[in-house]
Amino acid sequence: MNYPKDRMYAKTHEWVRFENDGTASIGVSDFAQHELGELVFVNLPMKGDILKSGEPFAEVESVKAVSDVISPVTGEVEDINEALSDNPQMINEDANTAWFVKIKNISDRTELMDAGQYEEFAAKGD
Amino acid sequence: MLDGQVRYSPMCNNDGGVVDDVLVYKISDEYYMLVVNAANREKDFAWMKSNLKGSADIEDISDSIAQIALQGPASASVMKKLLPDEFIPSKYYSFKKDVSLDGVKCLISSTGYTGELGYEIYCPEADAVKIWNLLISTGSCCGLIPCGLGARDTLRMEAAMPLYGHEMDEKVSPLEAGLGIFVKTGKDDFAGKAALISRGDPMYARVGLAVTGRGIVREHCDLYLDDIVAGHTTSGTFCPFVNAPIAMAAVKTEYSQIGTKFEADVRGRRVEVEVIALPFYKRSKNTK
Repeated sequence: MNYPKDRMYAKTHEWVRFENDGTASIGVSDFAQHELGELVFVNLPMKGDILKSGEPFAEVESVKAVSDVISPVTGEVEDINEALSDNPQMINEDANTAWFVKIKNISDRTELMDAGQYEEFAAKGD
Repeated sequence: MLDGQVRYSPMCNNDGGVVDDVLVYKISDEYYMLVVNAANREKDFAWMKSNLKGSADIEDISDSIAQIALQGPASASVMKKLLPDEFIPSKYYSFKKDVSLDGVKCLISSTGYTGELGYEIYCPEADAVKIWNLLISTGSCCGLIPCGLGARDTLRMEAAMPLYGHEMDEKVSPLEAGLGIFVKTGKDDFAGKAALISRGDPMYARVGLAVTGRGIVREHCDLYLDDIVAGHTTSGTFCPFVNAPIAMAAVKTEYSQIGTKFEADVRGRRVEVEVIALPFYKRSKNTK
């Protein structure tokens, strides 16, 4: 499992990387993609949508099940990763580069962990 | 039925709904083996016991028997490596009993819950691991892999085979599930026959759906035709061989023609689907 140190992690297994310009990008962790199995469908929000921290903003589906992806922050969707819509397996290939959305005007965030804390948390088993 | 024959049947309740779908193996005029859905084991046993007539009796032998399904175009090759032809059931829906597989007494039928050639092997439960290991090692010649219920579900979906609790249940009649040929009312009395006759022509039909929009449409999605709820999906998932999301649905018969388009309500989002012919996958004529 790979948890880069340049970002924070939520208990619901999303990562959020805060950039210097005040924006953030969001994806799901390596642990999440491993648990989900082979992904065959991703449903992303639209540019301009307002996300609320702690609430679902996207869905990922494997053959067997659908899972909500929870937003770690409150803010506005500046950009979405269209490539992911066409190729959900990119998430399995490299969860850390498979960003879902870029968020701006961030005003709130959920409880977040650093990479080390998240690694311990994920290892304990959910 | 003939000795050595297997028959599939929906077992009806007195309202014409389905208690379970079962396979009936005729061993002799005096002895039949019934194979039921494991989830319905107690219910089926109680139903059958309460409907016994004359000197008939019934015993639940589930705990003493294991069943391993060997399915796929190469399954015949695997069987031929294990047994001479005379012990391999050749006709679809037939079986051979008292077949010795590595010293284990088995019953083998040419049946299965996939759209391909295959066999179901019944053995004493204590020998199940031995038979499993024998199949895995013999099958390594032919690309045999173990698979579980997830694979089983996509295989039966692609073959458009109904699953109890989805395409039919205690309220749904066999005719609504597309299984009318198994409950012909022209024959002798059977449980539910009167109810099926009085129910008349079914108001719902089982159809296959191709997902033409974006998304995976699973069970329990309402299907809209403009503002009307035309029906609902009963099963659905992304299927690996057809490489697409597909679904089966119960729709009002007047909307069941091939080509009819609906919008499926998938967790609040509308996804376009279209009625297509079943089955989704048909085995090629080159495999027996």
